[in-house]
Amino acid sequence: MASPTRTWESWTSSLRSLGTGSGSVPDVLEPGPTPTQTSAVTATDKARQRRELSGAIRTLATAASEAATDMHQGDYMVEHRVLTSELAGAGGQVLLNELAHLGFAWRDIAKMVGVSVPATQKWRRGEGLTGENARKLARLVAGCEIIQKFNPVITDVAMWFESPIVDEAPVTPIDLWATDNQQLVFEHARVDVSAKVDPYLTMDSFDPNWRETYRSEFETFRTEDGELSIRARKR
Amino acid sequence: MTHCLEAPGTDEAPEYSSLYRARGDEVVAQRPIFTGDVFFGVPVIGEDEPKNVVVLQHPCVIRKGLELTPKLLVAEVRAEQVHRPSHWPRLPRQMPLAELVVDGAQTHYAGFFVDHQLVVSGSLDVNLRVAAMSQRGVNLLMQRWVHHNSRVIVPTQDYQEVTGSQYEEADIIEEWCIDRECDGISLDDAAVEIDSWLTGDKSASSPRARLEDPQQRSAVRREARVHLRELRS
Repeated sequence: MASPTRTWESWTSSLRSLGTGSGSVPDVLEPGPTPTQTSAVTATDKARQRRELSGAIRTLATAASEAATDMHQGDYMVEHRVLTSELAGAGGQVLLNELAHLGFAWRDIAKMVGVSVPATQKWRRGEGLTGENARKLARLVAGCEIIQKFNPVITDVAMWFESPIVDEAPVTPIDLWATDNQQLVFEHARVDVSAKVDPYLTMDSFDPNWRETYRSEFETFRTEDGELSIRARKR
Repeated sequence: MTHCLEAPGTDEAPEYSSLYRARGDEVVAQRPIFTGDVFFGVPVIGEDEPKNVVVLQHPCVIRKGLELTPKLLVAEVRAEQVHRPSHWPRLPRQMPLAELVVDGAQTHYAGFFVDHQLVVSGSLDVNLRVAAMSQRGVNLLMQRWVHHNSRVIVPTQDYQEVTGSQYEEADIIEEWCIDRECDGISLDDAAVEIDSWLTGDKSASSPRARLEDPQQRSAVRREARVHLRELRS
């Protein structure tokens, strides 16, 4: 986030020196001007200064908004870290059972944790789960809890993870998580419900070339035998 | 990307292991035979010696319910040098099978499309299976096989859409059969159980039909797991 170059106090001090008036600068400039000050500044100068300050206020407002968003991100990222630490002690099979209960496929769990499907099958039998991988499982379970807590609209978190971020590409939150882009996952999940998240920007952050990478001149459709088939798109 | 044959990863970071769901000792008998499965030493129609083969056909045509079609189309698999990903588009007559694990050792093979064969499906013993492909692997195989036959290149993301539900079903069957064998149920009986559950009343709301909708797959998985818990209780 870009940090403001001046403090709130310095901006308000500048505004006060200009005095109150009509126009785009709000009347928050107390105390009001003295007759001497008014005569010392021409109307043209005041208008120019007000324009400059209006722009500065907008910049400051944007920065404040970003700071608020960062604070909110800080909230859920901290909560994610804390919950991960708590869950790490739950035991691998408990964590796997929780992910299974949520409806995840083993291949997706394996992908997000960075292991093979047979490795997860061994873990289910109680074999070979390292502390590092137990922590990765805990991080995933914690992530699911955070998403459901901060955005209650997501009632089927496994389905949400499997759903493409945009219609034009098969990239899902599973792919984001598997490539260590948890922050993007949380943003896409709108854990900060006040933030507007453009899915296209999420995709741009993940892969700037995604439009070209996933461009297809084909489409799927259901044939008369009821099966899905592929055909060229109509131009 | 749209107009060339795809490959796993880049030359700097090849992702050959992403072709496979399981290799060597990792392959389990509980997984139903599927597109991209690699078998070593199976009888082939018209050949005196057993061959190493990879199953070629789309998953929707290799079986009906539990039953495999009587004969399956396969490509012969032979040892081959490893080809870095940037070379894959120049090898349209083969499916590279890099880093296959056979007898505990990692070796490079390829399935050669010009040497396609027929096998009697009953001869595909799951104990002779040395690899099962990932969805990525299946999609790459389909792209290369269709291109070999028609000179058309379809992006793998489109194959993903038309193989996804069958792959999902194979995953559910595998999970079910592993768990039921732990309960002392034979593999054959477990396969019948889960096939019956998937088929349901054969309506559009049956689990198998719902797997065709990606948005319902997590729910079907949950229901299968609940059904298993109920059977066990």
